[in-house]
Amino acid sequence: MRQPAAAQATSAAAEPAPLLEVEDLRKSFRRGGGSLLGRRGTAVRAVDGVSFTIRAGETLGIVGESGSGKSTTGRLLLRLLEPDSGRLRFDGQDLLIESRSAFRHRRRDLQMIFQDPYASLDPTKTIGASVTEPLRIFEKTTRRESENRGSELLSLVGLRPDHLGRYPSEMSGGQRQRVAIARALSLAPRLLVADEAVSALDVSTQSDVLNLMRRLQRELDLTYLFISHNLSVVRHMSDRIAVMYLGRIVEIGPADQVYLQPRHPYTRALLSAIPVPDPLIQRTRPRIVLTGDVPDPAHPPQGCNFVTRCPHAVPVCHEVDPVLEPDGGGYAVACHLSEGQETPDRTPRSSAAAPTQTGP
Amino acid sequence: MSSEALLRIRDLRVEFASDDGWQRVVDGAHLDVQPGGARALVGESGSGKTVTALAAMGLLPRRHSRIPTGRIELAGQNLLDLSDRQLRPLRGTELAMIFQEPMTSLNPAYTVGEQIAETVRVHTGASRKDAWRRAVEVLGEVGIPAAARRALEYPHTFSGGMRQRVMIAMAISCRPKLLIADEPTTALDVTVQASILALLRELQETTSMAVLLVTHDLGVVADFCDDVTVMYAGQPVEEADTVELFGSPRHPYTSGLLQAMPQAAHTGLDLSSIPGVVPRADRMPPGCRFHPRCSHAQEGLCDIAEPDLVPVDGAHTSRCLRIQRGEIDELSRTVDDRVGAARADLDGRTL
Amino acid sequence: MVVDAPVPAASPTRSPMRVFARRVLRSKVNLACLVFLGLVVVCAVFAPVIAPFDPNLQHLDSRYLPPFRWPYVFGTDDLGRDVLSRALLASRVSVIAPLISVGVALALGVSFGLAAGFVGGRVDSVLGRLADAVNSIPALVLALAVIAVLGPGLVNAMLAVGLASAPRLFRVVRGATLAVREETYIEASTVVGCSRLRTVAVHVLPNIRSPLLVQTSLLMSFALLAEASLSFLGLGIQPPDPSWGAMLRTAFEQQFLGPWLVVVPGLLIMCMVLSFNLLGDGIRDAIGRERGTW
Repeated sequence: MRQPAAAQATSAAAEPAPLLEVEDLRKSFRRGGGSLLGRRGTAVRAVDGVSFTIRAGETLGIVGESGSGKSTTGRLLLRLLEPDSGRLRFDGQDLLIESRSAFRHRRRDLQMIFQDPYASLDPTKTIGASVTEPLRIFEKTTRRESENRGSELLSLVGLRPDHLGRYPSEMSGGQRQRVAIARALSLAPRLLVADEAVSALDVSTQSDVLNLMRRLQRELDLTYLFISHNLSVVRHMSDRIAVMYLGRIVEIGPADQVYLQPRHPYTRALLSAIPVPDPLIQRTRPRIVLTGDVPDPAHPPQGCNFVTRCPHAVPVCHEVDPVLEPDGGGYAVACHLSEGQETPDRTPRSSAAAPTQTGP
Repeated sequence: MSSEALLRIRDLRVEFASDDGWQRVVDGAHLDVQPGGARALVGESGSGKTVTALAAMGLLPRRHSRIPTGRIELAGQNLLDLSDRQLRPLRGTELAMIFQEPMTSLNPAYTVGEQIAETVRVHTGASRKDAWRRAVEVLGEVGIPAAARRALEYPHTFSGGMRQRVMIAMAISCRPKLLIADEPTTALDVTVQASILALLRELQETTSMAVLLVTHDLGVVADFCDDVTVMYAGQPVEEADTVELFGSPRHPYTSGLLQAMPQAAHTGLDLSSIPGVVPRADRMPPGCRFHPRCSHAQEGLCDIAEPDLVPVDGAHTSRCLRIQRGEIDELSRTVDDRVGAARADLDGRTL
Repeated sequence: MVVDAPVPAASPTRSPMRVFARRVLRSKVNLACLVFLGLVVVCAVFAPVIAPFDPNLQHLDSRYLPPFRWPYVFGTDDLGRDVLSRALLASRVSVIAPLISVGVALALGVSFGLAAGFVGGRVDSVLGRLADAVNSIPALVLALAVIAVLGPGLVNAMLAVGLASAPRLFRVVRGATLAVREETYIEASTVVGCSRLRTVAVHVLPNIRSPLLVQTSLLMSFALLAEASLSFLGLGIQPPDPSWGAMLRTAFEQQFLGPWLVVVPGLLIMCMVLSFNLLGDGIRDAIGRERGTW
């Protein structure tokens, strides 16, 4: 309702047609309720009017904290959850008018990697069975073909063919995530949604998987929607970043711009909250410590969603919900204070956010 | 230096029962926490850092674990010599612990005030009234607004960050000298993490409580800790002052971890990584435990000789033979040379 | 570019099944139970070959012989039939009867349990009420009712017992399915294009096999007892075919002339019931020790 402008702004600036267009996507969950007197409960707006586009071959990063609706957004795109309203267009075709069973064939184009590689693989199936299951479903491959394709897929993600006969319990987290990636790639999809794909991994393994995903993107011409709570990781992977807060996008734009010159106070707080692994920088950089937690999405505050934690809130923020305001260059922000005039905090970010001045 | 340490762990070994017999999960843990200091215990999963912390609290499961050797001294007293009954009064008043998951650490059937007051009464023998007063006071100290009212509420009405504050309140209610914090912010959002770390820092300043922070996040370490112990495969591999460790790591594993963190300057380049995985406790490689993954490993040395944790530069210790022999001068630190150009480029844009 | 770890020693694949089996077999009690049950099955299969006499052959000149009177090792009954031979042949009933009723219970309990747990909503509440209704009738009473309608006989009796124990299995399967349904790999299976039926059959069912196995083992013992009770009452197996329960009946009738007759069938029933129960518990323990691998 409030944000379609962003989608138009980005597509206007873009030369190639977007692969995925999301327009005003909404999803509420009922919470509580189910009492004897009938179903009541409060509606929790998990995703509240989200619009964005993804061009073929690019990576859009979605960053946000718990309750921001980022994972729900990912699941809506794959119709693991049914949206309440909104539009989803993939390659120009409307995804939401398709019936659920017809949508099954979209799985060839749209795939997903989950957060927890310990949970996303069936523990009773061998790696080979998991990786080649999509082939057996969609291409009815024979056992032998499956085995060959399985080996190819495993070597694509840096595993050995003899891993085919193993079980998930025998593999490390990083290896399992590679398996999950191999499975997602088995049907040669065009869009891959990665939901916290490396969050459960150790740092050393995390970088391995990130490198792998980037290599695969180059080699296979993939488009990513990369969802994470970790802004550093999102920044590393993405061409553009969308920052979500309480079910909405509050800032979206080219990765450099969002990361280096954030304009939404929430993005700034998020950036400043990520500890930099260098004590000299970390201890001297100016920090914005937000007070309080994310409000209950069932009872969002009046006015701007962020007003309860915003260090710069002015009276208008308590009354009027800010609109995601595009600047025409594929950048948009939803904040009263960034419209036109300078705000006290508009100065370019200090070196703190980007650890570029690393004097010992 | 170590003689005055509040917590001293020496040569601690911990074994767990498994299907294939006893497995040594911690093999020679070694660390000091100074009074009022903040020590980080860093490592990836499987490094033995949490087990070390649990051993210090005497919280290892009796039936499935054993401690064949080692000393855990708190203010000179070896905790491993104490019976459970002797240890109990120390928990709370001398030592306290907070965990990663604040949701499961609180009893849903009691109000948070009751739970904190209970802790206070058990440890100090205070009257109900005094204990309650202390509970409200300490909830205020950890930054819970309207503490007197919130003390009457049940845990489920608190958000994740607030629950972790409640856990901290409970932990510090009897003014412990040492707080062991096991991944206290891992389950929390970054903005909430920042506020919890700020709270811990503030508490440390006002109460001069020492903190042993167990974490996998080097960013948190850089933010919070004075000293760092890095663990790998059940052993400490490097120990130093935080600034020193980040500035010039003296173990290839530490340097590998630092380089693996994604950073702005690296954008567009591959991240460096440490190939392979942490070996399992029953399949430890011979020689240095890190050598199969180490880019500096030397055949005939690292795969044969088992290194010790030895001072290499003042109080800076390292478990790397080649560093100890002076064969490797400089390990890469946070930012790799190959990104120099990208960095200059970025500098130009930001400043 | 992507270098993978030299995987620590290419160990033989530790399939979750194999790990589980090893864990079950480690316990001597479990092993003993399995050996005993195995013996019973062997006896059942080869009864005609092993049995020294025709189990129904009457030796009217040697009735009520106490045990250890050559050639009748366990003695003879009121009609002079060899107790050992009868007990051997009766083991067939003890194997087949529980299989029938557990088979019925599995067919009903698993399919409805999976449907209720996975689909949820209205399906779940209707099936739940149905299970409650069946559950409110005691198993033996239900069996008696079925026999009253269909007439006595082993198969009818065991079908009834199976029907009566289906709700218990239904509850277990439904509960386990509810838990598995929330797992990420179920969501992942939707993403890779599994239909709902395939998801249930290929991903849910194998992952609830452990609680299922425990229940099956316990149900076997229940079914065996039920068979013995019904045959004891004369409603199960029909004379002259032997079953341990029917043999107990004979022993009961002849308790003054041949008090030892009760020993052999009684002990066999006890041991078999105990084996199933202990095995059920043993499997439960083996699962409990390491969640997630199975």
